[in-house]
Amino acid sequence: MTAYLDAMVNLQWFFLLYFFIVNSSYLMLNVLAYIGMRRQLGGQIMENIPHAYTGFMPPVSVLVPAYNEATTIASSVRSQLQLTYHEYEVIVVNDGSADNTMEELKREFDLLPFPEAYWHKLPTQKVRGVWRSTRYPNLRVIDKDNGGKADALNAGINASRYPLFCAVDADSVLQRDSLQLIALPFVEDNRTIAVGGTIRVLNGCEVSGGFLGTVGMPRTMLPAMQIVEYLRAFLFGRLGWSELNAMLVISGAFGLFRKSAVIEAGGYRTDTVGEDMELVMRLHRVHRQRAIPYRIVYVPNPVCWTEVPESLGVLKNQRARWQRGLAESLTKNVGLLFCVRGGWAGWVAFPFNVVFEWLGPIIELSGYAFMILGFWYGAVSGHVFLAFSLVAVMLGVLQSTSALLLEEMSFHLYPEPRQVYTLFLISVIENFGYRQLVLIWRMQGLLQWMFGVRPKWGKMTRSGKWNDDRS
Amino acid sequence: MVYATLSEFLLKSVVWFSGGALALMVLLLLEILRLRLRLIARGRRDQALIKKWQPVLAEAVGGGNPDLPALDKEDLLQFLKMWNHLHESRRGTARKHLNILALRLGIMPLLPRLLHGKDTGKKLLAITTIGNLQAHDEWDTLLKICRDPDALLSWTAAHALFQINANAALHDLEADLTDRLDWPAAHIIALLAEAGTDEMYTGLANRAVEFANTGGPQGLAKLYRLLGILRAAPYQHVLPAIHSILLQTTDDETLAQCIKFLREAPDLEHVRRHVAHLNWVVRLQVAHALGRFGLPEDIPRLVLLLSDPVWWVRYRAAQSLVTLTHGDTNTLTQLRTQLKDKFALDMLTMVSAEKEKE
Repeated sequence: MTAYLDAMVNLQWFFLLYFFIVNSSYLMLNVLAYIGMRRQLGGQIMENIPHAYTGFMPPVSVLVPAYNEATTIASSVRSQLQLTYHEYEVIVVNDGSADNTMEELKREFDLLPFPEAYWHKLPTQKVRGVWRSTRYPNLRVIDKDNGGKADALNAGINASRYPLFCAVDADSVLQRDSLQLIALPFVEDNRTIAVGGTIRVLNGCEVSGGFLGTVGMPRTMLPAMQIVEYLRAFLFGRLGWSELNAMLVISGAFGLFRKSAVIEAGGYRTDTVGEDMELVMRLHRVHRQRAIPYRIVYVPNPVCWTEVPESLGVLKNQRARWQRGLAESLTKNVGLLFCVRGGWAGWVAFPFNVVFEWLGPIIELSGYAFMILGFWYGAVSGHVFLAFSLVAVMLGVLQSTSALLLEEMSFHLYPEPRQVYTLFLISVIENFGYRQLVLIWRMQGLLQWMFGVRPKWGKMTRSGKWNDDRS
Repeated sequence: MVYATLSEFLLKSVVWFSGGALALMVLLLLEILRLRLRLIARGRRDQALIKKWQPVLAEAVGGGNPDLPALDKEDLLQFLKMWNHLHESRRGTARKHLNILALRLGIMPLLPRLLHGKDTGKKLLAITTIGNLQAHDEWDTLLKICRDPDALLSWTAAHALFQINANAALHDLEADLTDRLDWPAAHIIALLAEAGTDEMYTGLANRAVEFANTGGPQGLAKLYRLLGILRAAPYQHVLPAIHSILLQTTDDETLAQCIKFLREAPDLEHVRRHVAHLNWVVRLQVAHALGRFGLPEDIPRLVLLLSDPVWWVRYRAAQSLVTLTHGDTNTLTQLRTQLKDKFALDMLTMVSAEKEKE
């Protein structure tokens, strides 16, 4: 009996300690994010004043990997062709789509075959042909055999002509000035090798002519909850880590990279489902191990809008895939962990991701199970059970509120006060079931990784409701 | 007993923790509310400001002498943003008229408070305004800010100094322009072009020679950036320095950067001798240069580069061949029939197709 009680006490302490460290870490990230945001806002006062150096920004290749994107591809490419940037090209990579993505592209953009001397810098699946638009000289389409998103991006890198490339999801809508804003860190500091922008939820918004018209809230709860999640992940998660040059993730939906650095690191890996995260971790590892000065930055203002899952099944697959991707990225780059020149990335961000993001679902679900079972069997008193549940909810809401505050301090993308109240309400509601559900899905992803599930394109059902151009 | 005590301790800690979190959350919510109310109020005030000042500024830009309404203290920042935006979107006399308007409004005495404050945003706005006003009064303060480690702040101050007096600024900041690697080259090029005195490039070109002589990772980093800046300079002001560097450098990147400058027949020999250079970066520039000012006898050299193992060298060689043959279809077809290397043939076909589409 004493041994049982000792074990219970030790477990209580373990979960309490874990709880304390994870929340303190998030608090620290919040503080860093506030510092970063204030600095960025300091410079924002000059934003409306025309800059003489705009014309000197490096040319960019926008890479759009597409697999079965017939519903949204034309609208998405049109939005990318209307960006305000002085010199850029758009390369759509059709990764052996089974639907009529390629036909849609040919019809919408008057594509003709082009005798491209394709450069095999990075190995990829067979390229069937290169097409060029007769209407838009800066648009090319690579048609290739199916090889996954990473393979499609590598093909795009091979075909790209410019020193920077911007990886964009085919279902995403960029704000007109986003390329200009995301490229700025490359002009301001030549050590910059990668920049991540902000991803926002497109569901509920209106898109017309390839551009975002009205920012709105989704009508259903599931995408609305993801708005709060995205705000948390980007506004304090990434901004906080970026302040320490230790951001380990740049979303595959919108990131700008120095091509030479990516090729030097070996391009995107095709044997992982988290190719975006894996690449960023590898860039950190390679540059740290070789002692090459570099910066990987997050800038909150270039915004890319993307459609998020509206059904539990699709969301479950997405979250499981992300977790599997995280596990793969961490294990493939374990050399960064506590490496001699690891800096904040190797000594803080990497271990943080291992303990709180990778193993987090196991510990947190065990914590929930412990509390429920302990309460059930009388090992945890009703008061303690309630108090713990309360503090968990409080801290969850606090994190979301803090992200809402950062949003309010900076961009006010949700213009109606009603939208802000709704988001706050959602940040309370999501603690009762949604967060726990996400934990379970992440756990499933972890198990899938452990049992080795083959990577493939994330199957995402697009509603495309936001797309006015379809009608 | 231990278990009961621990439970009590945990319970108390957790309750305190929850209380703290709740209090913080309420504070954050109040802050969100305050920011939202401020945003709404600011939106209304901005609208009123635009309504009040837009006609005045428009009349002033056109050279008129408008009646000036009073500038409310709380409108100063917004007004300065509007004024600077307009200032930097215009050229010539319109700028002078805007400066007269600002002086009539008594803007200048209000700026030191912003300049010496702690708010970086306000500081930036004050510096930009002083630069646009070309007001000499704060020269020493601006010079001090130029040495600030904050790249944006120091660069904005340097820009303002150049607007006030380009020659004096170049004298005071020459070393900073070449040594501060956190000042983006693109900004420096724009600034020097704006300052408009070509002679300043001679001094910078001499600094490049010094860096080439010094070498070392730091020296070379500065040299590469400086050579990038000098490419925007008038050719004759930098050519002697480039020749001097070309003759003595053993660094491939420096060599490649120097070849970029060459564009006249007497320099062809400098280019031709590197056709088979071991570093592809140099061969790339050779291919480019031969297209820029090569002669018909350079065609065999370009055909050789068309079979280079590096894609970019082949691409540039093909472009140069198309340029040298003036895109003549017959000559290019003849060249294609002679090519035995598949990669060379593919590249020439692609570049010819690109030219046709242009």
